[in-house]
Amino acid sequence: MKQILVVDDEKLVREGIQEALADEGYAVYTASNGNEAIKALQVFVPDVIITDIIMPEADGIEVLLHAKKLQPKPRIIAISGGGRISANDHLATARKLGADVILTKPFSIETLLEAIEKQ
Amino acid sequence: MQFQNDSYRISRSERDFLRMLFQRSPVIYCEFNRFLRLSYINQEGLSFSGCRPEEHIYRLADFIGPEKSLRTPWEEDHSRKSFIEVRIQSANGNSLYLNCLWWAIEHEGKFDGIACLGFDSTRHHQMMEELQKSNSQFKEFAQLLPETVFEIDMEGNFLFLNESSYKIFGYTKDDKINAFDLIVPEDQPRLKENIKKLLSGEAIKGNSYVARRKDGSTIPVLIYSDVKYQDGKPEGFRGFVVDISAIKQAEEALLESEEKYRSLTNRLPVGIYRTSREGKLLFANRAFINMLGYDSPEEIFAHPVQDFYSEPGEREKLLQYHEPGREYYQPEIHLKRKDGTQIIVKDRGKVYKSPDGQIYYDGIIEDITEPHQLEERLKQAEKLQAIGTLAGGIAHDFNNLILGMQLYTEMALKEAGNNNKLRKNLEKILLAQERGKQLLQQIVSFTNYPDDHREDINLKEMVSNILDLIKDTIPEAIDFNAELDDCGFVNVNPVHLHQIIQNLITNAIHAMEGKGRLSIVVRCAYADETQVKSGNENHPERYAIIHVEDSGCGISEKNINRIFEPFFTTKDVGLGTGLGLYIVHNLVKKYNGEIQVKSHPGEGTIMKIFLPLVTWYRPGIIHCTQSGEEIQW
Repeated sequence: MKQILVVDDEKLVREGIQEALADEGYAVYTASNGNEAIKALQVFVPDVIITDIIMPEADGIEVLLHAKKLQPKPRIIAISGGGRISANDHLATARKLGADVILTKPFSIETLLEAIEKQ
Repeated sequence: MQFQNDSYRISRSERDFLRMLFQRSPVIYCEFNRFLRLSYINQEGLSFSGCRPEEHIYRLADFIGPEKSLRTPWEEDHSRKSFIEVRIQSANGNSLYLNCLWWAIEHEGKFDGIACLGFDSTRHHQMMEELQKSNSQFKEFAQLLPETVFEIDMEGNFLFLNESSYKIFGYTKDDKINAFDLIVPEDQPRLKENIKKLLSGEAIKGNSYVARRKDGSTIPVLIYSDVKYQDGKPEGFRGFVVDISAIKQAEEALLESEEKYRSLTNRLPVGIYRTSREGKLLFANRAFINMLGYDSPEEIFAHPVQDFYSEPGEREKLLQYHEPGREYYQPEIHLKRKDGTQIIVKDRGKVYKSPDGQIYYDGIIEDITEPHQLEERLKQAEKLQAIGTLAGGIAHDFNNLILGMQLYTEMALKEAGNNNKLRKNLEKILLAQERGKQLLQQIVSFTNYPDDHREDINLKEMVSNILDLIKDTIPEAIDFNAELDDCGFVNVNPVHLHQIIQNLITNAIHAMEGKGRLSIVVRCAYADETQVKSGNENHPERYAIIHVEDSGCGISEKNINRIFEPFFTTKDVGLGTGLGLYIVHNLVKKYNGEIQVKSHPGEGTIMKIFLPLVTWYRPGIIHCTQSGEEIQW
C-alpha cells in the first residue's frame, strides 16, 4: 500500500484529497503547512508527497527542497491554485526545483491518480 | 418823324379803336396815362387784377428795361422793345406781372400815355424768380460742400466747379482744365463706356475711378453724375466727385484685418461656428468643416445643424437650457460626420441676441473623440487591473474551493451508483465549477500576460495542433471544416495564439446554438488586403489570415461596434464573460495585426485575423495543403 503525504493549508482540499485517495486504497497522511510536513518527513518517508506551494509558515518550495534530500526519493507532486502571480509560474518554479509532476488547481481525481501512478 | 409811318405810336383815335376791339377779348388790354397811372383796363384785365373797377388805382410800378424807353419811344426808336414785362402794383401791395405788346399814345405830338396788350405772366415770373433763387442757393450750398461739385459741357469744359475742387485737385481758377483729362489713362475706356451708358438713359450708380491731381499724384474717387438736358438735348453733365482715399484705406485695413482673423480662425485646431436658433449654419471655420468630414463650406452650409447630431432632437433638447446672454458648455456631444461615423466633441459658446431680436449661437467645438476613447480604454484597463488584482488575490482561495467542490462531487458521483437523478444533479455541479474555473482563468490570464515570451511559430502546424485539442468541444451537428495553408511563420506567444483561436471558435459555436457550418481557413495575404497602410515598418507586406466563418445568428448593427469592449456580452447572465473578443483584439493588436468583422444578422459572421508573417515561403516552391493537394506559389 502506497503511503502518501498530503500537504495543504486548506482543510477542504487536504481532507478532500485524503478521502478520495483513501477510497482508492492509499495510506494517506496529512500536514497543514510546510513545517508540519518537514517534521513528519523526519519520522517517515512516504512514496508520494502532494504539496501545495503557497502556505503560511514554511511553503511548498521548502517542503520540496527538504524532500529532495530524502532517501529513498519520494515522488513529488506540486499543486497550486495561484496567487498574485499565476499558478503556472509557481508550478514552473517547482518543476525547476525537482517536482516530478505539477498540477494546477482545480483538477479531477482521475488526473491526480494518473499523476501518482505515472512513472 | 411821322406817327402814321411808325407802328409803335398810335393816336387817340387809334387808341379808342384798340380799346373797343379788345374790350371783351380774352387778352388783357390796358392803358396808362402820361403819368403812367392806369387809366383803363378791359374785362379780362379786371379779372386778372381781381379788383373792382373803382379800385383801379394801379400804377405802372416796374417794367423790364429803363422807364425812359417807355416815355421816349419816338425819340429813340432803336432802343425800343416791342414786348415788355411790366409789374403793376395794386393798392394792397400785390405785384402782378404782365407780358405785353405796347404802343405809345401820341396827342398833339406829345407823349400821352401807353396802351398795352398782353397776358398774365405773374406765375411765370414767380417761377423764374424761384429758379434764380434756387440756382443761387444751390451754388452757395455747392461751395460749402467739402467734395467736388461740377457742371461740364459735352466736351468736358467746366461750367461750374466749387471751391473744394481746387483744394482737392490742386488747381487754381486760372488753370485751364478739361474734366475728362482728370481721369488716369487706364480708366479712360471705362469712363467713355459709362458716359455712353448715361447718354443712353441707363441709370448708373457711382463709379470709382482713379483721378490725377495737378502735381501728378493720384486719388481714388467715386463719381456720381447725370446728364443735363436743354430742350430735350443733352448739353452736358453735372454731379459730384467723392474722394474715397480714406474709405479705401479703411477698406484695405478692414480687408487685411478680416483676412488676418479669417486665416487665424482657419488655422485654429478647434471648430468655430455661428448658428441661428432655427439651425442655419451662418459661419464655420476650416476645422469645423474638416471635423464633420465635409469638403467645402458650400457643402456644409447646405445642411441644417440638426443633421450633425447623432441623436435626432438632441439639439432642441440642449437649446432649451440656453438663454440669450448666457454662456453654455456641453462637455460631451455626439456628432455625426458626413460619412456617418461618430465623433465626440466638447461645445462651449454664448447665446447672442442681435438688436433686431435674432438669436445666434457663437461657439467652439473641440474634437475629443480620441482622448475620450483613450480615457474609456484607460477606465477599462483600470477596471481590469482592479479585477485582476482582486482575482489574483482570491484566485488561490477560489481554486482551493473549486478543487474541494470537485473532489467531493466526484466522490459523491461514485457513491451515486444507479441513482440517475442524483448523478444528473452532481454533474451539473461539476459543470458549474468548470465554468467558474474558466472565468477565473480568463481574468487571471488576461491580467498576467507573460509579455516576454515569443517564438517563431509555423502557423499551419500550430493551428492544426490547437484544433486537435478543441475539436472535441465542437457539437456533432456542426459541420466543421478546416483549410490550412502552409503560409509561413508568425512571431507570437503560442499561448496567446491558442487563446485567439479558442475564443473565436467558442464564440462561433455559441452563435450557432449547436448546429450549422463552421470553417477555419489559414492563408497568406498581402498588406493591401488587410487595409493596413503599407510601407510602415510595423506593418510588413505579408500577413497570415486566420479566417473563421460561422452560419450563426450574426451580430446586430447596434452591437458590432461594441464587440471588442471588455465585459460586453449578449449572452445570458452567467453564460459569457464578455472578455473573449476583448482579449483577442488586444492580443492581435499587440502583434501589430488587424482584426476585421463582417456580419449579417441571421446569416452568420466572418472574423478575419491578420498576423504579420516573419518568414514566408518564396514563390516557386511547392507546398502541400491540408488535404494533400500540391500548390505552386
